[in-house]
Amino acid sequence: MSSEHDSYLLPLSDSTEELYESIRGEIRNSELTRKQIGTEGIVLSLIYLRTMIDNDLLQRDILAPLLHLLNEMTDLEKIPDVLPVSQLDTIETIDTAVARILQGWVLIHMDGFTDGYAVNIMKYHHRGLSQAETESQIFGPQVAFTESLDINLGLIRQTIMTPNLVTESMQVGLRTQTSISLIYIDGLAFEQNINTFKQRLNSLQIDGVFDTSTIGQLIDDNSYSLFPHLILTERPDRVTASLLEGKIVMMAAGSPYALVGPATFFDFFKATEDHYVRWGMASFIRMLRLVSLAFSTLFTPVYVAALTHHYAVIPSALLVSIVESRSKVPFPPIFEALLLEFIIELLREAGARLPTKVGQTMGIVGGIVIGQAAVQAGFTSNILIMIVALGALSSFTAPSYMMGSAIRIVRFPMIILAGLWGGVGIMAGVCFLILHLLRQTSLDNPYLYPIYPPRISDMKDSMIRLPFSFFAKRTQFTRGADQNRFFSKRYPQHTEIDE
Amino acid sequence: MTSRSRLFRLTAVFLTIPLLCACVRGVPIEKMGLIVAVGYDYLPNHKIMGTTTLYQIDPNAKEKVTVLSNTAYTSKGSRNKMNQESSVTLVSGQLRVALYDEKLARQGILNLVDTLARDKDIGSGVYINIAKGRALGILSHRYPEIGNIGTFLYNQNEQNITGEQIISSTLHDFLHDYYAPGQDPAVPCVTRVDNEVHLDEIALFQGDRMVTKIPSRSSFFLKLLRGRFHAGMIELAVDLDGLEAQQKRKGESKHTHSVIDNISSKTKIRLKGQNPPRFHIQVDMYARLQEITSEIELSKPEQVKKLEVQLAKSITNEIENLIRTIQKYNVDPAGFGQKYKASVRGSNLTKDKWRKMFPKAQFQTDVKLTLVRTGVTD
Amino acid sequence: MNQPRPQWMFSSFLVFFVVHTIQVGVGLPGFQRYVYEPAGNDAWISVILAGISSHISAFFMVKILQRYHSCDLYEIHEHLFGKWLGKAANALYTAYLAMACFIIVINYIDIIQTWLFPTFTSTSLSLILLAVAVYGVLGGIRVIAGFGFISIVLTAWMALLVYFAKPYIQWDQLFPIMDHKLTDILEGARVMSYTLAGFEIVFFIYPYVKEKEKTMRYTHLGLLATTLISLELMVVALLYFEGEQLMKTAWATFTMYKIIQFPFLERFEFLAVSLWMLIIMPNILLYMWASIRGFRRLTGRSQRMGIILVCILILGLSNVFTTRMRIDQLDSVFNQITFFIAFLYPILLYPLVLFKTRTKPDQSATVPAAQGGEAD
Repeated sequence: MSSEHDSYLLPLSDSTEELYESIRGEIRNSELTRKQIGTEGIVLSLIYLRTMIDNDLLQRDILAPLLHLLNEMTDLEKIPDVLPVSQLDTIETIDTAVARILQGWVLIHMDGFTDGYAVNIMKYHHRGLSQAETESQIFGPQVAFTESLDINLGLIRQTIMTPNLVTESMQVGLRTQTSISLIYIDGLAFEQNINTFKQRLNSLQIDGVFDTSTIGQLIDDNSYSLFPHLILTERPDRVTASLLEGKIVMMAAGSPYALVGPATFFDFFKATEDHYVRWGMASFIRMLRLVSLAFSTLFTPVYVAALTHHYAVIPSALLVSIVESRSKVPFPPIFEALLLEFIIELLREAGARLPTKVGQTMGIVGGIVIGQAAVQAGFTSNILIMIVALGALSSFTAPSYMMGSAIRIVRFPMIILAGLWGGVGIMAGVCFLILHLLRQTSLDNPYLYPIYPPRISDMKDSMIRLPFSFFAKRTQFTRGADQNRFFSKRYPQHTEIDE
Repeated sequence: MTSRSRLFRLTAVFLTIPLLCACVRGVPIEKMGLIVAVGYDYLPNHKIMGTTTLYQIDPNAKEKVTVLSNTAYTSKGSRNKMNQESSVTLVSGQLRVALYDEKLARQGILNLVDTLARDKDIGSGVYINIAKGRALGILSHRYPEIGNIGTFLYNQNEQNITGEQIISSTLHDFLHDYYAPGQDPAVPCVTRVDNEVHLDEIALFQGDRMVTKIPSRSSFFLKLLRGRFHAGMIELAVDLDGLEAQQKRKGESKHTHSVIDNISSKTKIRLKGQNPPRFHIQVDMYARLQEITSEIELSKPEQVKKLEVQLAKSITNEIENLIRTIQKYNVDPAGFGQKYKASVRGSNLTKDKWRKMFPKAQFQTDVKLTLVRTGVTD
Repeated sequence: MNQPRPQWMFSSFLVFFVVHTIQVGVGLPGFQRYVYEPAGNDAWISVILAGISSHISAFFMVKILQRYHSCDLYEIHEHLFGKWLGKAANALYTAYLAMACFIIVINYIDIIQTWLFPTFTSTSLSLILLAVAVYGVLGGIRVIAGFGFISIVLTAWMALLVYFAKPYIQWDQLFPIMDHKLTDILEGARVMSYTLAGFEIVFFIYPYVKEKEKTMRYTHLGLLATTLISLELMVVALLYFEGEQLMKTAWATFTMYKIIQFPFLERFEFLAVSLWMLIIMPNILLYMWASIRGFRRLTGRSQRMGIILVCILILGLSNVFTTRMRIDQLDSVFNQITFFIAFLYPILLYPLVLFKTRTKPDQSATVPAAQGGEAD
């Protein structure tokens, strides 16, 4: 950047005044501050960016010792001994001085010397650890990642203390220079997956990225697909669990989300909580989520198809109530369904944008005003409101918000197909969807994994979750070298009844 | 990237072409007249009168049911005419009951039943009933306590068939029994008595022509003979011979009435001889005593044994009576011909052949009845 | 011999699903009356005989394939008959596969038009089916095999639905057993070939199977599953319908489904006809895939061209065969062809293969390697 200004590779000027001016020439920033301490003869100048440093540290760890030392100070040599800071560099060129100041260091210079010291007292702005919001759970650790890459790496490292935990850092974004970290456990992660991940990151040519989700979309296997191919999570426990499964994690500075890959379709319906509750409950919840996947994509379309094309399939007990609720509605079922789906999405989106305090009113507006009034005004039928609401509800059961949104979008073409061609349309849509999912890959690994290619031994932790005694072997999906998780040696059990 | 975007374009083109050029016209459900029940009545000159009952979909309407009727030469012709009378398109996908009046049934109703089976909209679970009197009279009467006569008839049929009280006569049953060379259809009859509708008799068919009617309690025995029988209730007259009945009132006959509940039964019909066909009917029945009009000491095992024998005798009599009736009219609703066909190799049985053989057939009936329990008291 | 790249190959037990899924298709909804016509109430024996003969043909088919290391039928043809005769045989076989694809499409269109939408035009319906099929075929054999697997998983429960026919079943209708002449029963078995055909696809997927020595086992298991399901549907139809009634029933399986009721679904056959798309789609995919491979081998052009050609062919012809009568005629012609190609051809070919490979079986490696495919 500054290669054309050869002068700045020159040593520091021995005059503080000159030095300050040349730095000012480089950093055109009004926050640049110069503080002078000492009387004439011995004058120490501190040059720093006011907004980048920690004022408390400046006073306690730099100003106080320096003032104490000031009387006996003849040269700079004693300074490193008296400053209680961990990062201290000797600065000899203007170039490094400028770079350090931009990073939040304080340049200490004394009139008459051609070198100085730089001390790191940068104030890192970040929020404290807080609860996971988008992936909230009842059991297990509640902490979420923050925007600080160091804190996030620390959170992971605190849980997995093996020396095999590898972190590789690189820079992405020509202008933002966002530092990202690739994390995996050596011996568990499959070499080919690591290489694929690295290759895709390295081939990125983009001027700026701001969040892991953007990087995720950029390195995705199929960017046309509606479905996510890599997991985005804010939970450290999910990341560590994935690492132990042999998956690879990518984190970026400034993003509280980790990108985990390779992932299968069913990974998006898993929550870490499934491992914290007992297996019966966990299996039940997993199946509930998959049922609600089918439910939310198919229920409204089936209603539209039945009412538009296949009236004969409605049982007589239901028929009267359906027809009566439909009798005042002026639109054909397909428009009615699309309208209601649209309203539900509207409520969801408005609710997401509003501050939480105002957000509560959305419930009232949506539930009572729109819902009830729409029926009374003869806009929609009661039964459809129920069906659409149930469909929306089931789409929210997916632990991954990305997957939930994908499912909600898939509903719309399905409804249109159902309205056009009834059952044939729905089945054409379902066939297309299955083929689409079959064609997807995640970091070149099959997306529908334990279903296709079918592997019964790995179904223990996909659609259901079996008791932990079945989990002695790691999933073969990630093809890690070490397949053993634990040796299921049980404490001795009595085989005979009552003995 | 280029191959992927080409692929994408190809798929997009393939998907939009059908979207643009194909659209099946669908009619929303509330714009259709959903027929629940149809009735056909005999008119002279090969004409029929069709009556349909629709679901009334307007919640504010006074009447719960809409009835249309018309005359034509064919059933579909009459429906077309009715369509002109109606503000909604008449469709038959929700049809549940088809009524044929007795006069029409005696002429043969195969064409009218076949058109139901041919229609892909109509399920094979539609109930076929014979209307005593006119079907129009049953369907168009305003019943104060029945909302929709169509659904009422459907529920009445369904309830009685699942309760094993009457013989099942769905569209499939009718056609199956019609086409089977050794079997004839049997169909329940519907009568309107003032403001009530009764299912009280069974019409027996010879081919597709109705021949006679038997009382609806005979369907218990008919079902016993057909062998597809799980549970049903029957009231029997029992000869009190040999039973120590207490408190016998003076002047009372030697009969008592009891109600038994058939828990399970097994009927074996064996062909013993071919010319004339001789059948041996063996019925093993497990039953529960529900009610008895005389007090009998049921705690004594030998009394129960005797009661079992008397009940079996009474059932045997009823079965033999039924067989006499059907032989007299030369109809075979019990499907003896099917047994004959299954047992005789190379018989090539046809309806005509069986008509000649059936009246001469001989039957021997053995009923073995076991009273499993007699209720919570002895 | 050129092995396909490992990422296109699939486990051998998927052969079971591929064989089963391609056999189950448009035949099963209505085969009963065609078999009943000659064989009467002994039709179920015909089904068993047809099943056995399919096992025999498949045995020879896999034996032929095992003589070569990793070849499909196109390569074997060229090895056996030389370049030009082999090309002619390949052209015939490719045409047969494309025709099978077409037969499936028009029969399913016919089913939809009869049961669901009488006014739905054949063109639009075949466009919808082909659109989905093309998307699948572009995914390659792994995706196709996966679709076959998933389609079986999602529809296998339909085989259990015959339980609903239980109250209407009359066991007498099965008796007397063997009441018909053996020739009639054999004729019934021959008619069954249309329903059981399809396992000739093993000729083409064989190079993509991972553990090739297990192909024989899984092919037979797939055939067995199909035979059992056909037998089940045949027997239940015999018990449920009276003979003359069955003769009048064009799609006995769907008519039997009419009796099924659920508390939330009054008429199951509407669902069944729609769901049947899941069952026939793998057939379209597999036949189209196999035929475009033949096309590429013949012309050396890209498979995309083949796809477009097959689609245009099917679209054009589906407008010609719009009435039940014409489709029936075509079906019976196809029935003859498929009996020869699927059932007889492997048996006829086997001695020739033995003769050609008798001295040094490994010399079959001289067969030219197939060009690396783009769509598979």
